[in-house]
Amino acid sequence: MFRSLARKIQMLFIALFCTTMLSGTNSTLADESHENALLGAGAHFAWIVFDALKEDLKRATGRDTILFGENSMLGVGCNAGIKAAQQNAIGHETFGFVCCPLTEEEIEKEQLIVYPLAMEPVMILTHKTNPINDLSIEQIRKIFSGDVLNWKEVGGNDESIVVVTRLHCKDRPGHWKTILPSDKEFRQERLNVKSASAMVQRINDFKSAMGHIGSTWNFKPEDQVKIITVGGVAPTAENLKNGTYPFYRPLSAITTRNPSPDVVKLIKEAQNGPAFRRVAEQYQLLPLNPMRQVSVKK
Amino acid sequence: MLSTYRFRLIAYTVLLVAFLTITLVYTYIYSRNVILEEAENSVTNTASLLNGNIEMEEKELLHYTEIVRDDLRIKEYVFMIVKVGTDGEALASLYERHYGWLPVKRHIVLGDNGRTLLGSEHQDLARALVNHMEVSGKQIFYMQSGKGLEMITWAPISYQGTRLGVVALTHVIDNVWLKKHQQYSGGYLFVENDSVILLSTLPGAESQKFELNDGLLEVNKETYQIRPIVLSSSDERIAHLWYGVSMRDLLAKLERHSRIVLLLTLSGAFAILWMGLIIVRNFNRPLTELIHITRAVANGNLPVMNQTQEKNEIGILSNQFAEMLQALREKQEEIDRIHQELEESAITDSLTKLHNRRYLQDIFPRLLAQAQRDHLFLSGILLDLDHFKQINDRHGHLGGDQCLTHLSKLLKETSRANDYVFRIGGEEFLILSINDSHEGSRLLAEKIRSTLEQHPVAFKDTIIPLTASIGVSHGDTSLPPDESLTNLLYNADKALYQAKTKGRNQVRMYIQMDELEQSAWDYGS
Repeated sequence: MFRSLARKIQMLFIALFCTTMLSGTNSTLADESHENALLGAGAHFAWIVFDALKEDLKRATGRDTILFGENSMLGVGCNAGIKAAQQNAIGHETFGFVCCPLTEEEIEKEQLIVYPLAMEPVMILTHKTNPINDLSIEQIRKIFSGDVLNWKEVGGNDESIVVVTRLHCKDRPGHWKTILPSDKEFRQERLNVKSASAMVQRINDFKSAMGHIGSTWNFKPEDQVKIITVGGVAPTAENLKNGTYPFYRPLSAITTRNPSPDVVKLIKEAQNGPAFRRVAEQYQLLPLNPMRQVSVKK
Repeated sequence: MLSTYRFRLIAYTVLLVAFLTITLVYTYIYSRNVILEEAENSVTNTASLLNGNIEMEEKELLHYTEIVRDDLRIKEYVFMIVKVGTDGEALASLYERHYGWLPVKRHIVLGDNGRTLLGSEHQDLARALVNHMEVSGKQIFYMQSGKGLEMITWAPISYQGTRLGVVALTHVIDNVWLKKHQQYSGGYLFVENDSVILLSTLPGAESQKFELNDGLLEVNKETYQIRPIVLSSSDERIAHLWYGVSMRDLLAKLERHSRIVLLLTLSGAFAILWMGLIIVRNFNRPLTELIHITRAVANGNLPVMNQTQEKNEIGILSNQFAEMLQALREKQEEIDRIHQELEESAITDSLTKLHNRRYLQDIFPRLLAQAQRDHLFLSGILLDLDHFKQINDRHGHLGGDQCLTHLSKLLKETSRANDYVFRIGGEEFLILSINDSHEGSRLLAEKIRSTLEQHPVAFKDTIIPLTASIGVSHGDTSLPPDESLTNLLYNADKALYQAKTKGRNQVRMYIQMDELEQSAWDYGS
């Protein structure tokens, strides 16, 4: 009898211990300070966009919106956005962001609803001291593929070109694949970075570098980088709309298949609200309005 | 004397003092060598310690080098420079941004084609690095840098399986380094090349000659114990690092040590001597006293020995010995008393307490000699109680004893202080008296007779009248004592017989009985 009682007490302590440990490691979006807030995380752009919309979203939903962006424990990136969306539960309402178009197979597999927000131009970056201000699509593709190795071949200085890439979400369509469809086609002698900030840093360091970045990046005044036009076309929302700017990526919000009404309300506000228009204008985003839900019907 | 404890204690003390003195003098004499040997070891150990520190610095610098080498960004940038052909500005920017804080003197990145990718201003370092890598694969080496030395560590940089070049970092061993390391070494550090001191923490040593003589260096008329500090892969042609300690400082320590040793020697010797004297005094005095007393006891004396307040073993022994002497004295007194009593009983009649015949024989020669010396007469008054047998028969022996006791008392009271009274038979008594004439003897005898007659004995409500017959004679001084006594008793007895035969209770003198027999009778009363 005593042995049985001791065993029960032992089990109770083990259960308490495990609960304590798990609650400590699983703090992410379930922190007490986020109670009654709508929680979002994902690609970097969303942190910029939704942070700017925070007040409007609160007015629309009556609830705070807390975003986990570049300094979050979740990190940034599309995979983090999908994971955030999948953590949705009653009393713990979440949504995510992706900067790459998801395949239909992935949407079905992860049981997601995708809410397209905007089209973002993928800008071509060079060092500020580089005399080249414009390159054709072909020249850009040749530089990225390694067919052109020196700036003098495209009218610039006699300097070897340093190609800097950020080839993320390799299994998803779109984004950098508008430049070259496969990472195999990019020049082997290149610098491949893991983040947008590293991209900017590399361009800063190499005067003969060229790279790419989404338009929602906030450059610092001291950054020695510039954005060049592509075939005389600037990376703007207007040029995306009229189809003259060739490099872009779609930005989307995602939820699980049973999102809470407040989350849906929040995303609708983000898609249609006037604040989003202002942000889109600032960052040259092309809003994808009216709302188009991309999902697989049951 | 040699076997006495006093001598032994003194000998032990002297030997101990001598041993201590010799030991400490030996220590004093050889401490110089000991200190110098220890100093030599200390110099060697400190040099080893400095070697260890330098090895740690080498490892630390190599660690920094490998950190830089392993940075993926560094590799990518070097790759871009080597494979793409860009300039090193981006690499310099990256290095300063991420590793500008490293505590190193210089840094350089060389491409495998010999091109300086980073640190192009350090061409001397680049040449030394290339030269070193041609002859050695060791990642740590030294080069001469100005007057000092420069520690260099390098590591190869590879990217995507291809070796692109090397990165090298340096520390410099200059005056600052020497002073920093001198703080805990306590001696002096020298950088020497071609027998000339290039750098030193010893003031005024720079540019002085560096010539070793049996491990000693002389600089500015001072001598230093000196040891090399071995550097990894150092080229024989470059400067060397040395560590040294001033001999003057060492000898100053020796002087301090010598004074302490001398002080200890004197203090120790004095302390042992003083303790020896204390021990000798404490042991010797009571032992000597005991020896004197036991010697006195052996000679038949029992001297008085005072008790001591000392509680130690010697004090306890002395006190017990004193108690033993006291007990012996008391026993001796008792023996003397008993002896005296025995002697007295041997010469005293037990009933009358008068002297007996034995004492008469003892004392007679002395009295005879006295009379002869003083030209006096030694008279013998022989007295016999009249009818004593009848008294005994009538009153019993108790009555007879009472009469004898009574007579004895009267004789003592009547005779002079220097007269001797003896009981020489049952009812016979003798008084020896020294007089200047026969008449004195006769008067004394008559006094005795009349007194006795006048003082009868009271016994059991009965008055027993007593009388005595007395014969008086004198000792012949011309005869030997024995013969004179026999003669005196014989003659006195004759006179007594006359007194008895003439009616008792009378005195008869015996004077030259042969010629004056008649006149002797005439003296009767």
